Order: sequence, then structure tokens, then C-alpha cells
Amino acid sequence: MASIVAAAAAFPTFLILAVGLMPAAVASLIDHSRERDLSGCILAANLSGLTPSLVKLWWGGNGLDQALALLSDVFVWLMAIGSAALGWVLVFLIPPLIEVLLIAVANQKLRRLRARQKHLIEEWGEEIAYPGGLPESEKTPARAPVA
Amino acid sequence: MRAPTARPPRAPSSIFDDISARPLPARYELRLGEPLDDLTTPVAAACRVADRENANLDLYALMGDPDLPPRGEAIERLDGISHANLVNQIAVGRVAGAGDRGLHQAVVYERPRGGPLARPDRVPTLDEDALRVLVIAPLCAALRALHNRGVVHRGVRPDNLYFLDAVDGRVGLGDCIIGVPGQAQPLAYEPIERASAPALGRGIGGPEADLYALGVTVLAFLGGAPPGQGLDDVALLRARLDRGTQGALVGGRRFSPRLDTLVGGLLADQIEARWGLDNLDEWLKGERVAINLFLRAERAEKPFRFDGHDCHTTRTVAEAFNSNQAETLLELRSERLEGWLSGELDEPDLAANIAARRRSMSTSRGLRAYPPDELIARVCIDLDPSGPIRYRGMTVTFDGIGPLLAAAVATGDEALANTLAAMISAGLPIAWIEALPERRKHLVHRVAQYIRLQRYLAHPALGFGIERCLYDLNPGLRCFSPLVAAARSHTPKTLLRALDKGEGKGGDWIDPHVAGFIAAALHPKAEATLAETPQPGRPRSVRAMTGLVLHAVAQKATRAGPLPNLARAMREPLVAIIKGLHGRSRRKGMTTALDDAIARGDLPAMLALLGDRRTRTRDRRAYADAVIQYARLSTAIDRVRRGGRRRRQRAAVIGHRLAARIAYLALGITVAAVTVGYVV
Repeated sequence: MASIVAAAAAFPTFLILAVGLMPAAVASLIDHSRERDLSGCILAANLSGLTPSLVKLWWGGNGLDQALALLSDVFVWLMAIGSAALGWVLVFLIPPLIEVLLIAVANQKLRRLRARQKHLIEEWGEEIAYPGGLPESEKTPARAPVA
Repeated sequence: MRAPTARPPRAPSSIFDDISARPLPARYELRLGEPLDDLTTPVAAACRVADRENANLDLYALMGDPDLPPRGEAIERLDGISHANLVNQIAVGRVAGAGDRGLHQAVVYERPRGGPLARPDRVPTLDEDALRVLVIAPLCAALRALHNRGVVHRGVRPDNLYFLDAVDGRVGLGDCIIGVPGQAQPLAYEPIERASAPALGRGIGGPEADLYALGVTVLAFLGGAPPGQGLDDVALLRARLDRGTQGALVGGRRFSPRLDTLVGGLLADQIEARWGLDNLDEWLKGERVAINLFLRAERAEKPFRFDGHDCHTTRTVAEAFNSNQAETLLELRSERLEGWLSGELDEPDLAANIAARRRSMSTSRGLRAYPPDELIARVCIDLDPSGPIRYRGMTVTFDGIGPLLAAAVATGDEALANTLAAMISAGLPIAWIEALPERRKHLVHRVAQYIRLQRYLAHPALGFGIERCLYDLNPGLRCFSPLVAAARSHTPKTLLRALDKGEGKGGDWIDPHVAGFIAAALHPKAEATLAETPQPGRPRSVRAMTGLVLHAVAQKATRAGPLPNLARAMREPLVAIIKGLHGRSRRKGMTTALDDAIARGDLPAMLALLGDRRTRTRDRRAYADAVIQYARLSTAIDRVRRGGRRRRQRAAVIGHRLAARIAYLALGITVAAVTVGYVV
């Protein structure tokens, strides 16, 4: 009996969630990654848009007719889908930014590595790059005598 | 009756104090323009000497050949000697002569008042009494004084005897310091075991050589003529080999029984039978002294005919074999010699030795071990173990090798020098030592020396080779390098200073003679340092490094003082060695340190810098580490350059995670804000 009462009390919320979280459901279907971060992001964003409607429902008595009224309100749809769309914006925008950052880091590392190589060549000579002997194309004129 | 074995000559006691290199005190002024013919010897010119501190003394000097080794051991052991029957020695030292042939060894003597007893070509006749008083007794006393000091005279002959005092007729024996031992002696005055060697290769020998010469001197005065007069050296030697020395020099002449005994005892060809000073003393006292008839046992009735000669003794066979190597090889393949040795001379052991040598000729292993000329030389040693070494037609005594080599190098006789070098390489001096047990015992240090010389000849690098052998065998000999003036090449110290003054011809500072001279003077320190010092790869650098080692060791040992010019002359090739190091900063640091040491003229410091094995090891290891490090860096660079796809994947993962975190945060903020809004 309690479960029936609980189910009857949760149905309006379920209704709002079932309809309002459809963008998150779609994202969940297309996210095949192990971490499931994409679907998590869309879900969180989607939920953010539905939260005002859910609170209004719960504050208004959690009735079925109130739930149906909310579902017919275009602003509720706007917020739910809009927030999901914002979630998708985050998903598409942030990785390229991260990639730019990673490329900058990689370039910095390249510079550092090359600088160390240059230092080694200055100290030990070009032969260090060719332990088996300098190829003809790489031979430079003899070093000037050390003063 | 065997004569005592003489001590071998010692090297100078110290390179700081080589007595034979000391200059003659400045107070003695040699008047080269006032020669004294009656005192001149076959190997030294005599001239008047003025003593600046005592004008009353009547002095003369003998000057030797600067290209021959000095008798360092005689100079050292006779220092300060004074004896009634020796010409009074005043001073010994080096003096400059005319021209640039180096410093001559000179001895200053008090001039004998009565002059010489005889001339080389004119000998007065003396009866037995006069002989005993004027010749035998004084010579016996003089030789005893010398032999007691370990000096063998090797110049006993009539024209080397002097009336020291015109009044009492005291006779004294003359000079023995100038010249190579035996060099001045006519052939008749050389014992048979040394007579076949050339004048410069007769060696010092032992007291038995002096006793023999005394015997021939007695014979000369008895006959009133030099023995063997009228025969050239070849004929005289042949006669002595064929008939024995007594047969050749005395012939059919008879003297009094006492003189016959004396002459027979002193002229014995067999060393063991020859009289010693004790026998002579007994004779002088009038006692009966027997002649050992053992000397007659080794002569065969039936001769061994070879190359047109009749050989009655093994010594004669050895001489004949040495004169005709081709015929000898053919002869050795037969057993004729063995038959003669066993049958005529009763020498079965010797015959067995020869047989073993003959059998070795028929095997390739034997021929590899002993090439034909070496085999013949060893056969000659077997036949005449107390004689000289005979090799490729050349004859030299064991202790004459050094002086003969010096003469060969000084005169540019490359053929002779190479023959002597080949003889040493073949181990023949060692074979000669080992031919008699007595020699094996007393000359063990010479065996070690000749093993070392063989190593030097097998390794003809700077500091080794024939030049090293030359100076090792002739301590006190000047350096024959053409780089510096002869007058400044007698000691390592003067040589270094001459090179520092820029006297090196063409600016060069090392050559095989300089290297061999220094290495021999500073043995074994020089060799030990060379062995410890790492050698660079290129030949020119090896030469420079070896030169630096030798000069540095010499500078330190002789305390020659700073040598900045010499150090500067070495800079270029040494900097080339530094360039062989891999590390730039290490090269720069070493070059700076090298220049500091060069400015100070400090060769040992330069050697310490360049010869430090640890520096090269550290450089090599650091270079190897750097190569590995460079390769690792290359791999890392490659990885970074090729990481685009991975970077994109990583950016996607991180980006989605960040997006999710932002969304969660936004959700939390929204829930909180809405809840608060409704509550408030």
C-alpha cells in the first residue's frame, strides 16, 4: 500500500523527468566512452534546466494536473532543451581549447629537449649525434683551435 | 791457477754524479799546441799541461776520443790512487777539444822524469835480472794495486812503462783510463780468447788478460823486439791459432829454465792454466812454480781439415767456420766434425751437442728456432766457449759489444751496427753466458740486461731500438743525436738545457738518440713511466707523448730547472693530444693548465696533466653517457612530434571530463539557488 502511495506520489515527478530528460537520454545512447563524461555533462546540464520546474511542482503540491500544466508550458521546454544545448556547447568547445593548451605544452617541451641537445653538441661535438661516424653531408670544417 | 774473475764494469753511481762527465778542474790548462810525442799513446794524444795554482809541477795530459765510451769504472775506482809503480794521476775530467766533436775525456799525469822504457817499434833487450827489477816486480806490484781495486789495466806493453824517477830508476805502469780496454794493444799483446776481435771489440776481460800481456812484455824485452814483428795481424793470428801462442811468439827460442817457466805460465792459451799474480809472486821469490800441462790436452794430433786449413783445436775450427758460413752449413750436415771431436779430442759431450744441432737443421721447427747464421754462431760458442762471439763473419767479445756498437754508430757503419743488433736479437750474448757454469753464476744480471735489450730491439719505438741498446751498453757515452752540439750531449742535464736554449736543429726536440740516451740514463724510471702513461692513437701524438715522458722524467731526476723554451716547443703536438679528448670544457681547461705549465717550464706538471689515465677514462665515460643521453633526447623529441593524434584523444577525454565537471557545478548551483529562492 505504501509503495502504491509512493508510486502515486512520485508519478508527476517521473513524468516531468521522463519527458524533460530526453536530450540526456539521447546523449547517453551516443556516448560510448568508458568514462561516460559526455552523457554526464548533458545529463547535469539537462537537469539544471529542469530543476526550477521540479521545485515548482514539488512546492505546488506535486499534483498530476500541475505536472501536465508544466509540460504544456513552453518556457519549461525551453529551459530543459536550452540547458541541454549548453551542455553540448561545453562538450564541443572545451576539448579543442584543451588541445591548444596541450600543443603549447608540447612545443615548450620540444624547445627544452632541443636546447639540451644543443648543449650536448656544444660540449661533445656533432659526432655525438652519429656514434657510428659523421656522414659526409654532416661534416663541418674542423673546429677552430681552442684559444 | 785460474785467474780470478774481474768485476764487470758498473754504471755511473748516479746520474747526478757521473764521475766520467765531470769537467777537468779549471786550474789545469791543456796546451794543445805543445804535443809530447814520447808520451802519446796509440789512442790518445799527449800535450803539456800548466797548473795555474802550482807552476812547479811538470804535467802532461792524455785526451781520448769523445765518441767512445769512457772507462767510468776505472775513473771511479782509481780516484785518488797513488802508487810507487803507477804514473802519478793528478786529475781526470772532460775538456773541450778543437772542433765540435764533444768533450774529450782527459787525464792529467805527472810527467815521468825518465821517459818511456821503450817505443812501439823499438824495445831494448834486458837480461833476466834487469827484467825482474825493471819490469816484472814493478808490474806485479802495479797490477796487484789495480786488481785489488777491481780495475783491469788492459794496456800492459813495453811502451806503456816509464822511468818515473831518473835517479832511482823506478818504473811505473802508464795510463789505462783513456780509450776502450784493449784498443791500444797490438795483436800479440791480446790473449787468444780476445785476439780475433777487432781492437774496439776486445772487451775489458779479467786480470788474466793483464797477466798475459805482462808475459808478452817480458818476451819483448827478452828478444829486444815486439813479438810477432814481421807478421801482419792476420798471419800472426793464424799462427797463434795453429801453433798456440807460445809456439807462434816464442817459436824455437829457449831461455833459462826459470824464464821458460815464466813465459810458459803467462802465455798459456787456456785461461785456467794461465798464471795469476800469486804465481808470479812465488816466481819472484825464487820458488818453483809449475806450468799446468792441461793446456796441451786440447790439441789434436790429426787435424780437422776445413776450407783449406788444418785445424788442430776447437778454437781454430770455430774461427774457420766463422770465416766461411756457406761451407760450414754444408759441413754441419755431415757427421765428420762429431767424429773428429770424439776420436781425436776425446770430447764426446761436445760431439753430442754438435750432433743435436745437426739434427735440428733437418727439421722445419729447428730451422725456425735457429736460422743458419745463428746456428753457426751457436756451434762456434760450443766449440770455443771461452772465446769471443762469432756471428756472420764478425767477431766480438762479450764485453766488447758495447764499445764496438758505439764505434759503429759514431762512424756511421750501419752494416756493423745492424749485425750487432741482429746478434743481440738472436740471443747469442745470453748463449755465450750460458755456455759455462761459472759465467751463468756471475753474470746473471747481464742475462737480465740482454733479455731487456732483445725486447728493445723487438720494439723499435722512441726510447727503444738500437739506440737504447747503444746507451744501455755504454754508460757515460755522449748522446750521438745531431740535434744538439756534441759538447752539450754528455749528460741528460746538459742535453735538456741545450734543447731549452733552442739548440735543437730545425726546432726539433726529440729523436731516437735523445730518447734512447735519456731512457738508458734513467732506467728503470723512464720505462716504468712510459708503461704507466696512456698513449694516444696517432703516431705523431705517440711521438710527442713519449718525448714528453722522457724529458719530464729527466728534468725531475736531474733537477735541470725550468725549461720554458723546450716546453713551448712541445706545445703544438701536445695540444693535438688534448684535442683528442671529447669534452670541450675539459679540453679548454686542460689547454689553460698546459699553458700555465709551459710558462713555468715545468715538464713533470705537463706530464701529470696529459698522462693522467683517469682523465681519459672519465672523458670516455662522460662521452658515452652523453651519446646515450642525446639518443634518449632524440627519442623523446620524436615522441613529442609524433604525438598529435594522441594529444587530440587526450584533449577530448580531458575536455569532456572538464565539461562534465562544469555541468555538475552548474547543476549544484542551480539546485541551491532555486531552493533558496523558494524558501526565502
